[in-house]
Amino acid sequence: MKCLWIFLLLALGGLSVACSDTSEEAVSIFAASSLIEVLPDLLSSYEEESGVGITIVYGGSNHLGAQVKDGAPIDLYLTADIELLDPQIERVDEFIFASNYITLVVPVDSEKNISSVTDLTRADLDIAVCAEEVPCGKAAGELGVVIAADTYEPSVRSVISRLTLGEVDLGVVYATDAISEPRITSVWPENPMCPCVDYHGVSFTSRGSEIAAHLLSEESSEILTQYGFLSP
Amino acid sequence: MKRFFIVLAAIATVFLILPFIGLFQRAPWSSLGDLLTSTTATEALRVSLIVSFAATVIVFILGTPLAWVLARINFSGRRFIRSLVVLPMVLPPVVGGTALLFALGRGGFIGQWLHAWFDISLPFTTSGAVVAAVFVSLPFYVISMESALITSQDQLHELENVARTLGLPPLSVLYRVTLPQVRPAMVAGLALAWARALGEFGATITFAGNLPGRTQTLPLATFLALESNPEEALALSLILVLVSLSVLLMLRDHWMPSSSNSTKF
Repeated sequence: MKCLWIFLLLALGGLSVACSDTSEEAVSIFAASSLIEVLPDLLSSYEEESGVGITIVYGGSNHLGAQVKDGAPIDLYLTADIELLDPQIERVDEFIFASNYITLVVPVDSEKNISSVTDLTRADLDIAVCAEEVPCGKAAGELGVVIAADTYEPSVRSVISRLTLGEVDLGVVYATDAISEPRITSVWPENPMCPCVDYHGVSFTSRGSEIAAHLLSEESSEILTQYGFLSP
Repeated sequence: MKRFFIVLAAIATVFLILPFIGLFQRAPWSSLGDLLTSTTATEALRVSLIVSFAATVIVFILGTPLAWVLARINFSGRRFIRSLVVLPMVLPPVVGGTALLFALGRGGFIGQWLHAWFDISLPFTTSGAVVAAVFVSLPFYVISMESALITSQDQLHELENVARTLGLPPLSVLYRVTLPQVRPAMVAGLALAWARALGEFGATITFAGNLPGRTQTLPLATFLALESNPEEALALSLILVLVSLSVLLMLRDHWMPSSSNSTKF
């Protein structure tokens, strides 16, 4: 019985910690998970100059969008699918700061002779694409071929994992992923082309707008290009 | 004490039931017919039923001997094996799926030989989804059976001895004497294993992937629908609730403890 009470006390303690509000001076940002590599680089100089701490939560645009709608207290929202954000939500401003395009990627040691978009219809290949519910899947649907997919993954990250683990022969991911992940390589197209995904920023506070201005600066544009993003 | 417990029990009951009220209250009743007959829903239901029942059959075939060996045969390392066997029950399913991928995936240490020699590749196939479901649900059955075999050990030994003296071969003793004696535990274990297989999400999406009509089960379809079409997600959740509830009701008499010996308040 004693154990039970101790357990209950602990559980209550856990609840009270979970309930306590931890909002602080720091700026909070919700960002699409495809920005996970570039964003810390983009924000480091701002953080140094302003001395403000920045908390970033990465996630799928759909989940984050829902949390924003439910009133998550954030300053800035960076999303790959602006349509998933309720247009009724009040905002300070909205801007496009980068674009990405999708590309066909294979594991670097691939011997399957894959070179063009028509290879997406080959039944002899194991192919992973994003589910059409998420931005990268929506864009893949606009490629104009019927993809003989073997799995529709819930995020672009899981498509990349399938490729790096050697579970599939071919995947459709963002150009930036093809650059940042050394174990995969892009086979098509050679030059940037659409279908594209635009990254929108939505600021909800003046702090958020300050960071927005920073994201649109010359310096940020250079960093974005390094990571394979297209500048607007 | 009694009153205090009744209050806490009421809180627990409300807590368990409340989410379902939310589900029913938000359900898109007017468009439910269309949503439930959509290809996504029917395909997912079909895959879910195939996978969960196939998994239950395999669980029965493999789990019965395992429970029997763990309960009856004394060997060194039995306690260790026993903990290993229940591991998938407490492990996050995603971890289970990842482990399966590294073992049986195309690049896994067994999977690459399966692929090279027999051209068998489990990920992205319905069989792969069944493998994931068996992995997570087997422990539920084994635990239930093993404890039943151990608790009724003395009584079972007597019956088995009688059967053997009457000339029944060992396998018949097992199937005609031992197993019928522990039938309630067997049915309960199978029901639990089936329910766990039906609800399986993490290991399936990690190991078997997500393809409508092949590996997309109801939980996977629900998860993805939630990203774009919450009404559809609600409808799919309703199917899962109804299917699970009806099976539990059908099995109720087999595994719910009988209520005759409870205290009347």
